[in-house]
Order: sequence, then C-alpha cells, then structure tokens
Amino acid sequence: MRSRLFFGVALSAALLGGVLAVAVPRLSAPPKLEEVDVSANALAKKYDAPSGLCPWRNPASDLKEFFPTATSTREEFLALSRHTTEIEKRIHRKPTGEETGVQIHRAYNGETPLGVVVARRVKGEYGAIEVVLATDTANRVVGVKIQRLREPDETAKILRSPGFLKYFEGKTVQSDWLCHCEQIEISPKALKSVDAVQGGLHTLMVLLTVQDIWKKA
Amino acid sequence: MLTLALNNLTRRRLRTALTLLGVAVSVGVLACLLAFGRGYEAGLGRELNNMGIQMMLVPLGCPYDAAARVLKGKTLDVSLPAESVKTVRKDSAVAIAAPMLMATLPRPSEGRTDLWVGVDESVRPLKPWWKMKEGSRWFPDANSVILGAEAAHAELREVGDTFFSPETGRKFTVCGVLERSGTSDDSQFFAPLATAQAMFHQPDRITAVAIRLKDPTLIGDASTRLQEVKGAQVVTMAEMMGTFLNLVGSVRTLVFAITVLALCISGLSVFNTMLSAVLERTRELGVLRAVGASRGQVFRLLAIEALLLTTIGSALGIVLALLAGRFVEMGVRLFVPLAPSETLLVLSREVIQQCFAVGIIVGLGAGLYPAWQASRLQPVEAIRVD
Repeated sequence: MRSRLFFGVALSAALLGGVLAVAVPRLSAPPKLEEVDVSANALAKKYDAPSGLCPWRNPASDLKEFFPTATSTREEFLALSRHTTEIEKRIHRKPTGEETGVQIHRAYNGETPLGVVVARRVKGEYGAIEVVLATDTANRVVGVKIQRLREPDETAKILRSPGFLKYFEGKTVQSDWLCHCEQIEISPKALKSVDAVQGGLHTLMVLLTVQDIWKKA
Repeated sequence: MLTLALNNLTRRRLRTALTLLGVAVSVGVLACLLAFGRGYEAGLGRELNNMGIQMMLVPLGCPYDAAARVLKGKTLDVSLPAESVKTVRKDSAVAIAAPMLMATLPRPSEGRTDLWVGVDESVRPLKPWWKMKEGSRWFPDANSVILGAEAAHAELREVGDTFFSPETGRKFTVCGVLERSGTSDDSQFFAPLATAQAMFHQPDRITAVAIRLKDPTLIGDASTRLQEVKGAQVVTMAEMMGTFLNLVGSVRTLVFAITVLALCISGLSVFNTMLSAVLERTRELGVLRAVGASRGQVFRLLAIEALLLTTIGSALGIVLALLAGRFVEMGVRLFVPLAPSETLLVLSREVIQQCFAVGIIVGLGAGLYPAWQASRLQPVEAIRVD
C-alpha cells in the first residue's frame, strides 16, 4: 500500500515538474519578433547614448490627445532586469540600470485597456530631451510628444513639428526607425537630436515589448 | 660649586628623586596640554576651513533672508558692485574673497528652477568638497560650463558635451562635472563670472562675496570692518562660528587652569625640597659660612641645586610627554566636545622650548627663597643648631 502511494506521489511530482519545465520558460520568454528588426543595429551605430527615467509632466492634456476616450490611468513599474540579455540583443548595446525598468501608465476606458503612455529622457545634442510615447494594445505607436528640451530654436521647432512627430505613428518595434530626412525635411543641424529622439523611442519600444505587458494586465 | 651642588642632591636620593618626579610630571602634563590645546584649536580651524565659506558680503536687506538664500544656493534680488571684492581683499583678516553672481532661470513647465552661479578661480579653495569627474578641467574659455552632479545627470551631460541655455540663447561646452557632494552645488550650473554677468545683463555686478578668514577668531573685528562697505552687509555663519569660538574659549580656559595647577605643583615641590634641604643643612651651611664662604656663594650653591633639580626634572617631563602623550590625548578626548578626528597632540619644538623654559623659571623662582634664607644664616647660630 505504502509503495503504491509513494509511486503515485513520485509520478505526480514528475509530471508537474515536466509541465513546469515546459511552461515556465515560455511564460517568461520574450515574445518572438517575427519580422527582422532592420533598423536597430543601424540606430545603435548612430545613437548609443543611454536614456533615463523622467516624470510624465502633463498627463491630463497628453492623455486627451493620445487616447481621447480614456477614462482612467493606472501607473505601474515594470522591472525588466531579468530581460537584460534580450534587451541588449535588441538595442545592440548594454542597457544601463535605468533601462532595465520602465514606468508605464496604462490607459483605460472603463475596464477596457486602450494602451500605455511612457515618458523617457534621452540625450539630445544640447541637453536632455524628454519624450512621451503612447502605444496601443497591439504595441503600435499612437503618438509621440516632446515634453521638454534644451535645444536651439531651429532644432526645437523640428522636433516639435507635427511632421516629425507624426512620422512615428503606427510604427511597431519591428518597423524601420531610421531617419528618412528627405520625407520630413530635417535640417542637418538637428540630425543629432533627431537621432537621439528616434533612438530613445526605439529603446522604449524594446522595453515595452520585451515582455507581453497586456498578457499580464 | 656644581660638584658640591650635585653631591648635596645625591645625598638625599629619595627626596631628590621624588622632587624630580614632581617637576617631571608637572612639566609633562603642561607640555601635553599645551600641545593638545594648540592641536585642538588648529584641528577645529582646519575643519572650519573645510566647511568653506565663513562669511558672506551681501547687498543690504534682511540679513536672515540673505543668509538663508545664500546657504540654500538661491539668488539675491539686489547686487553689489564688483569693486567690493577689492575692498574685501584689502582687509588684513581676509584670506580669500571670491565674487559670485547667482541668477535663476525658472522652468515652470518642469517644476524647477535652474540656478546659475558665476564664479572665478578664487572660489575653488572655498569649496573643498568639490571633486571633479575624470576629464574635467577649470573653465578653458568664456563659453564653458561646470555642472553639478545632479544637473549633469538630469541633462544627461558628460565632459565634452555641448549645452544650451534656451532662455539666454547661449551655447556652452561642458568642461567639468562635479562629483555628488550632497550640497546645493549638486544641482547648480557654474559659469565664468564674466559670462554669467553678460548672460544676466549684470555687467560689473555681483550678488555676494564669499569670504574665508586667515584666523576664524578674527570674525568679530573683520565683520565690523566689512560692514562699512557701501551698500553691503556681512552675513556670518553665526551659529557655526559661535560654536567654534565657544569651544576654543573653553579649551583655552581648561588648558590655562591646568597649566596654573601644574606650575603650582612644580613650584611647591621644588620650594619644599629646597626649604627642607636648607633646614636640614643649617649646621652644615653655618660651617661653610664659618670657614669663609660668602653669603653670595651660599646663595649660589642653593640656587644651582634648584636649577639642577628643575632642569633635570623638566627634561624628564618632556621625555614623559613624548612617551605618554598618546594616552593623555585619549583621556582628554573623552572630556572635550567635537574633538577633530586627526591626531591633536603634536609636540612641536616651540611647545617643548616653552615648557622647558617655564619649568626652569618656576623651579628656580621657587628655589630662590630657600637660597636667600640660607644665605642670611649667621654662622655662630647655625653651628649651634642640632
């Protein structure tokens, strides 16, 4: 009798162990990128400065712009340190401490999730540039805003121009993030800061997609 | 006569040894306390210097408001002519006077204010906590900026990066980044004084003169003199300086009291020994007088004995102080408030010379009365004494 019980417990444990061994890596594994991320490597070559955390300064007006139907937001901090290797692979450089965490603001209409808003500080040519990025539940860019910068007028105008900001709408992490200056009329003087914004936004997209944030919610 | 004096001393070895010990202990304690007192004052002075600024010359207005603003690194609404630095530098008590121009650039959308400080190289000794990050250097040209650690982090700037001030339309090169110090400097932007004056349209104006004195105890006199500068007032780091002056005063009183006590013990010890020697040797001194010794010779004999006792005793005392000084320091530290951490007891040549001289003078002084008394003995009466 005892040996049967022992056999039963051992078999159950073995089965449970097997299930866990298969399921756990799948749960924690980053979602597979089906398309080839063509721009990340090129972006990393142009812009390799780390980005930093920053507050979201105008939540009410930004939310109205990004998600007009939103009724509430929920703040959450995503600790991504266990995905460091994957992040490094995707941004083609070692992430800093501040790049292994991201403060996200989930937007909801009632209980229906609409997307997330994230603010980030990137290294512009003349000082920090704070960008705000909004993505929908399919991880597509809904909108981008520049909430603070220290660039000369000429560069500031370009970075804040609707032409430049709209350029990112609809992009996913797999999209081509390289600057196509001829399409959005960027002066060579502003290129460094434009690259910084693009690099920073791409890094943010990587951080948002390195784990499935909607599955968790 | 020297041999005779030595023989007299060695005849009563125990008494001589005890007298020598008395003098040695007194001189030893005196040396230790003097050295400690000076070391303590110097140590406190050094710590005060490490705090940087001891006084500020600011434009006339509420001194408390000015002090609070300066200490918090905020800007002052009014300014002083740049010439006032020269007046301050002329004062004999002033070691360093550094002109500063502080100006703010509010950034309401970010809920913060950029504080720009125009400085020249004279400010560096007043900021001993400044440590520059690798690659940093002092302003190589007018368009250079040094960033506090927090400011550099917020703006993601490193040495060699460019930096723009949109409000004033100026482009800079970051020539230095300060290590985090935990002071208000962490969030400030430092520019060359002339550049800051031009940026904020304040040519030949400054908002404060930061001052360090040659000796912090001169603060009262220096403050009174500098109050005379037209349109300016002096703000002292009153509480800090008050504490410093109180501590120095207490230590000076303590050292003085113990010094007097030590000298009294030393003097009485020699006095007692010599007087006993005279009383014991009354008959012998009478014989000396009877065989032709003059009063002066008897006086000199006793004086030489006293001199020998105090010289040897003082020398032993110095050796004792050198050997036991560390233990005295450990003991005294327990009773002295805010003792600086470094070694305070440094027996300088000056202290040794002073203690040696004081020991000899006091001992000799104490031996003079017995010697004088001995010289007044009448030979006939002295020989009669048993």
